[in-house]
Amino acid sequence: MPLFLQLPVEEQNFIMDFFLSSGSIKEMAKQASLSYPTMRNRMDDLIEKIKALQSE
Amino acid sequence: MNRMNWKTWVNPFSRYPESTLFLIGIFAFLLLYVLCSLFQMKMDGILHYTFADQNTWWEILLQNTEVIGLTLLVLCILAFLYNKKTRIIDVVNAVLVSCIAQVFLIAISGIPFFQESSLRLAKAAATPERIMENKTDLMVVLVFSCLLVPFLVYSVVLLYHGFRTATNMKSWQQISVFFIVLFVLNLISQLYFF
Repeated sequence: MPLFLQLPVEEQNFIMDFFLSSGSIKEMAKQASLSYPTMRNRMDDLIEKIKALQSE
Repeated sequence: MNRMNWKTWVNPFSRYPESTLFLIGIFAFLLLYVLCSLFQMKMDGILHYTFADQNTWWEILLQNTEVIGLTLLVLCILAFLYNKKTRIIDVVNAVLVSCIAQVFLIAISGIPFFQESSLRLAKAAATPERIMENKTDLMVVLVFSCLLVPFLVYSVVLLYHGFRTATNMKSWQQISVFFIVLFVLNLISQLYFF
């Protein structure tokens, strides 16, 4: 199964939102009413998770 | 606009943009300075204050700024060790916004009744048997200290959440080192500004 589909729906939507906001964490944070570091931390956690899945 | 709830009070750093937090932090710092000048107190550690009877308003402002500056320097170094993506503004906001709770600390500490009891008890501390002679002062200090503790805890909680949001620190080792550094920094700055 493609890596993207191995993720929960929430995280898939997160990646799509990132893509649709032209890769702008700032824009995503604004839309989600969250601060920039909070959104960045979520991004970093997801990146770590995907890297772990890739190495499996 | 989302409603504020208790989570926002405990961790405003997850919701508000850095510009808003910075303005709140600067306001808190200035208000803290005004109260320090009013009640003749000054910072000698990020979580500690001392009497400033012999100091001018300028000396109080300078020392408060130096304490904040020293705290920022140490926490920024720690933050970059934890996460190279950390922004300085987020660490600055963590330190400044934690001053909000300390405003209440100073306001309570500055109550004349409490200050006078504290001073009398401090003078009696040289001879421990004399402390028990000042039972009224002892009770006053104990009761007011109980009022101060929640605000001190709140200040530490704000600093912790701000730093955690800035650095994305997760492991118990990182959190433990943070608190140890905070404690040691508080002690060292008290010695330095003694």
